[in-house]
Amino acid sequence: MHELSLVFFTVLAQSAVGLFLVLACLLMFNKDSRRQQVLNRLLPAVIILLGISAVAAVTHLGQPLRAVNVIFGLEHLSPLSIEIITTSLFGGAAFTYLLMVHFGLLKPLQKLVLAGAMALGLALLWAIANVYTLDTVPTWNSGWTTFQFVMTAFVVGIPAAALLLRMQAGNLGVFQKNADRALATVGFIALGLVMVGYPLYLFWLGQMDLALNPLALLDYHGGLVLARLALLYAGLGIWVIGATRGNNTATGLAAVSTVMVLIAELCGRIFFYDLQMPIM
Amino acid sequence: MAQRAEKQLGFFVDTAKCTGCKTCQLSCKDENDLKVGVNWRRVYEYAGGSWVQHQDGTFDQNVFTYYTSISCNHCAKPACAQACPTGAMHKRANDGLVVVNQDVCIGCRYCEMACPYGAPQFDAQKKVMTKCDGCYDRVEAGKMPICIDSCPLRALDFGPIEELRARYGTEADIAPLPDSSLTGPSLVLKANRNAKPSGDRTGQIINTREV
Repeated sequence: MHELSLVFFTVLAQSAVGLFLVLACLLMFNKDSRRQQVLNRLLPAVIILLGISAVAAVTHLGQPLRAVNVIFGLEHLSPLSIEIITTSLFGGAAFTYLLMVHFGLLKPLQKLVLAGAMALGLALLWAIANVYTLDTVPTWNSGWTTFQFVMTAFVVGIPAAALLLRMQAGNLGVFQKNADRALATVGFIALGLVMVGYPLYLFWLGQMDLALNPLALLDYHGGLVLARLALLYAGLGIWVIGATRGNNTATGLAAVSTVMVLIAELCGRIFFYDLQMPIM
Repeated sequence: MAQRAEKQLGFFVDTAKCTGCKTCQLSCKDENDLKVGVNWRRVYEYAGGSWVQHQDGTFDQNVFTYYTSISCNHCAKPACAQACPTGAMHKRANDGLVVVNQDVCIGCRYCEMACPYGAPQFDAQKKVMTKCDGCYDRVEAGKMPICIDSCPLRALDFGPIEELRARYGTEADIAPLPDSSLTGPSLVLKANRNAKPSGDRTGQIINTREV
């Protein structure tokens, strides 16, 4: 499967955006400068995730040294060019914010750059979905593609942010506990959305008028889809249930949760790419 | 993308004459020196039907099959060129042929995802996309593309699409081809007597390992 590198690119880039949005929201609504310092120290995780995803994307190219040519596609608004440029802009804005914070530059503008990076993060989620909503690929050409891509950002980003905060529990004190509980509430809503959304998505796939049955294209698809749903629901579930019931410090649990959800999303994305079947 | 070509070249495929011999596919591979797995022209075998047993033990059948030889349709709205992030995949202004500039292509394979006809093909050795170029070098020398000249059934034709449409009609929606409104293919088909419309689900492509 030549799209495996794209599986990693899309899932990790969306996860990075999700993690960034959560941490940036916490930064936005936080006046305490020491807490802000701790939160800022967590942000390089976003750059690392995005960096890995960018490396994965470049390995997909036949001619990686010519990657800069994607700029020419902006002339006719190639969705792929827009996606790649948005990725660079999002990474650049997040990195600029980190540099400003690290060197204490232009303090009044820092929050503005952070807000700009958040907007670019949202734009990136849209831009990735825009690449795959092609009217010549009916199994991709729907709002379900956008739904999945946005949900990946949330179902990975929220437990990953909780994990990072739990690792800094000593420095953040009661703020970490409150943030964890708030994240668990948002995580609970995300869990509800995917629990309703993904079965509906499978029903939608099943009722499409296609030459081939999209749910029976490859032998391993049944197992892959089941594993994806089980890992996603269990992974998100154990953390959400634990956190809403008062366990807001167990780092190991949040780590297991994040890894399970990440694997679930990778499985789901492999299935997604396999659905790209020829119309003829 | 949007600019209209001065002239638009296109293909005619007579599915009533085609016997699925694949000489067109092979002569193309020979002319363009294509590797195993890269097929600029592909012959789709579309088949269906069933058998019914009568009370007296005899059978009736309505089994059918026909062939559509498809390369690139050099579409009016090429999905591949719209997708291409570099502009390497482009429509030539003088004859409307859609070709790849292999010095610009980055080999991202997005055109392959977007094209509903399977025309852009990745060359694993050159690491760039390749596809039917309408044999523009032969055409400029006043010859026909090699597939047209090699067809033993004389089932293929090539030329300005307006002339082909005047001569053969405007049919382009025959299964297993997708709805022509998606990309506006420069293609005219003559229907086989068993031909089914695009979107038909009573048959299927049965030579999937060849195309």
